[in-house]
Amino acid sequence: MFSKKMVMIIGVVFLIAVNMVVIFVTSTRQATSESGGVAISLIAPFQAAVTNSIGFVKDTWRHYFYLVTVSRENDHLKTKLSLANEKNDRLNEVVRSNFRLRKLLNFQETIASETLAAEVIGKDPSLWYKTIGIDKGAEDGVRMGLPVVTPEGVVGQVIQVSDSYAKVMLIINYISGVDVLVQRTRARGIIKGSAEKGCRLEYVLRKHDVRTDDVIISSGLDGVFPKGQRVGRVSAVLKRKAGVFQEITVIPYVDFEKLEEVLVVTNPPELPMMDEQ
Amino acid sequence: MNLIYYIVTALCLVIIQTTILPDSSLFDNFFDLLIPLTVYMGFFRPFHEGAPIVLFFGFIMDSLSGAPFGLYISTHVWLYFGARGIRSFLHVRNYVLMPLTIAAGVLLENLLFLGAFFFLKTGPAEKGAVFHSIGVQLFWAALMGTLLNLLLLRFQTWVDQWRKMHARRGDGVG
Repeated sequence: MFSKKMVMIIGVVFLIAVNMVVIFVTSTRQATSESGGVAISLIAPFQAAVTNSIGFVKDTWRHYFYLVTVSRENDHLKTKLSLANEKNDRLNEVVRSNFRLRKLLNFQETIASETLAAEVIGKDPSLWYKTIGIDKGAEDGVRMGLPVVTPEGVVGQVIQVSDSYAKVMLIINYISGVDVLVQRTRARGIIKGSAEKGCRLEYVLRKHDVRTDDVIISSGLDGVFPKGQRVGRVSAVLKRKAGVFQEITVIPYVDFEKLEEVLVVTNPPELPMMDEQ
Repeated sequence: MNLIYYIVTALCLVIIQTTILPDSSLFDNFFDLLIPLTVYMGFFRPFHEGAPIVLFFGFIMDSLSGAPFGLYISTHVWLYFGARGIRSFLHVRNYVLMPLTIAAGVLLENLLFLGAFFFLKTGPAEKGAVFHSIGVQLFWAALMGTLLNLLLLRFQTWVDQWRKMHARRGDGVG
């Protein structure tokens, strides 16, 4: 009834359809397969070895061959340090008065403090997805969903864990979403990854006042990132004539291209609503 | 012996792609290094050598990446069988066909990734950046992909010669 060619064409179309369905199904689920963790455990030691070797060569270059600019940089840093110390003293006063006020009003402690340092051993092989591999895993206390930060700001969230390694989805990934606030006006939005080097702050209503250089911090309301963690600064704001929301571009504080060490927060905050229940 | 050689080669390509290339801003938009290997396997190696390598390292890439699981395996499997289909009626050592096939493989992979974004209703909103990234990848693929395949052919010749030498000596290395 059907020629061999027709059967082959129908077969190929069927295989393509099945393939697309499988990819769609896997893309809507979190990666929890044991086999994926085994694959990471196979490759990660080689990644760690190469990354450490590159780090050693870079360190040798920086510390022994690149001293020409060190002295200039030293003077510049000393000036910055003295300004930072002055600012730090003023902020210490703010912290003390904040503590007193919170104590008076009986506020709950919101900042998580237990962190685990980890090194970045590899990056996502794809250009379209932004993840990193770190050298800490389940044996070190890392679990799925834990937030990852640096002193500069928020980095991402753990999405897959093996015994000794883990995969972290960065906040600049397209499918990442971080609940944030504009520090100055407390306007709320969601940070998402962007094709350009940065993020978009979405779902901020037009009525909210957001300006260039505004600081974006985590709201703590997603139950992932501790409240008040720095995320980025606003680089552009666009209010179109039509539309409910503003278009805001945010430059993250963390330089993801030079990321070498991160901190995994091992006791993230719980959602306030969960406590009340 | 050949299988070990391909496993080591693929492993080196994965390590280079995930640890060395991301460190350099010159290779911001670089193509998937396993695509030339997949094309090479489809063009020049028998099924029992090519298929396991393509499947295994597609699985490894899916595990290392944040992409939906199965995207890399799908891309590499389709590309592998496409390459095997092409070789049945075209002369594959042609220096025009090879870069074209590698570039087509890179384009296929990117289209699959963008298709996944479409299904998930997410992904890059800036079309200009998308086209720029794909364009740069195709440029690198046409330039470096063919060189990589020629290197693989050269190394394969050395491996075959080494095996023949040991076979003659009676070492039984296979």
